Amino acid sequence: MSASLSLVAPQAPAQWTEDDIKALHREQPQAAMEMVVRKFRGRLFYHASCITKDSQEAYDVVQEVFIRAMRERRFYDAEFRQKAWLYRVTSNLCFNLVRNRKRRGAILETVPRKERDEGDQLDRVFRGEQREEILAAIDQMTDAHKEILLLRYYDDLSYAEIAAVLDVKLGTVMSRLSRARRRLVDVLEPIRAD
Amino acid sequence: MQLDCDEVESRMAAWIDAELSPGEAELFAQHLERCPDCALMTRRMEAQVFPPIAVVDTAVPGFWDAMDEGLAMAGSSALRGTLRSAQDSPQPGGVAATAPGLLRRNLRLPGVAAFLYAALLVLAVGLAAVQSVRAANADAARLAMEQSLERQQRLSATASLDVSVEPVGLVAQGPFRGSL
Repeated sequence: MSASLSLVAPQAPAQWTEDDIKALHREQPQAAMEMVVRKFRGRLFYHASCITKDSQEAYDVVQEVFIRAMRERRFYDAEFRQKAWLYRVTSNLCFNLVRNRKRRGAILETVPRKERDEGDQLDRVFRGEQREEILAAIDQMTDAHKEILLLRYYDDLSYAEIAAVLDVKLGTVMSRLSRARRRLVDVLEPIRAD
Repeated sequence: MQLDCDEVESRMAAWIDAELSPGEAELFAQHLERCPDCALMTRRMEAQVFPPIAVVDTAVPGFWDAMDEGLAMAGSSALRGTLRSAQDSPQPGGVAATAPGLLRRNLRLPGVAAFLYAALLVLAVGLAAVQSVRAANADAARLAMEQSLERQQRLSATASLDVSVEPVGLVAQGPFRGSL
């Protein structure tokens, strides 16, 4: 960490607030972007990995998100919600990518398990019967339900943060999340009954 | 005021996640007491668990290097040096390591960088051409010098022993002056 960053925010990157970053940007724009990258890249990579299930694609998406952040003129405005914007762009890029992959007919999930590429890293780490069930169930959901479940239960965002990411009201977050969990009940219980 | 089944169902996740206001939570609980269907569905949702999903370990040294390079090229050369020194804390559940070299390096070239690259290329080609001309001129000068020495030797051989022969401007000849 550079000396200037130590003065502004001595904590771990996760502890830096958006206000810290915006304050630093007024003096050192490049250092501010460095803070943004270090604060968010790990969790955005996690979010992107959960959607794409491909670490290479997730890595590229996260890089693209930061490039777009560099070009976003409002990014350091006082009212701009950086975290929400970063998650929103990440989600959009990932879901577009997955949709394009499906259109190309190369979706991993349609390939029988035994024929999957041995090099697929997430295939090795998404293991455990319960995880398989949960992921299989989540995969059967709409993008909207999948996204909101990931944001809440895997990215650990609050309802207010999710509302900002999705640009919807708090009540919509509650109802959409409830419908998603209800759908999960409907999908999981037949799997577990087998 | 009471909540009906639709209103309760749309708040089940918020109830489980303790995101309802105290007033709404009270109304929700009252509904469950008198509605076994909603109570059952709430219990089924409560039983859901979301085990952490493990992704590749981002704490592997060098994991972010390719991204740092890409971002530095994209717009901020300062990122190149400073980002490399630190790694974020690993994400929850991270278990498997990935060799960073396996990651695709997606280095995008923005307009300014592309222009600079093209300018450097043109400069390099120009320098190579100049070097080529200089080498040709040097060869020509060397040839001229050899011819001059030859002439000097011939003159020395034909002149009387007392006559000294001045060298024919060899010192003044540079590689770009052409032949004698």
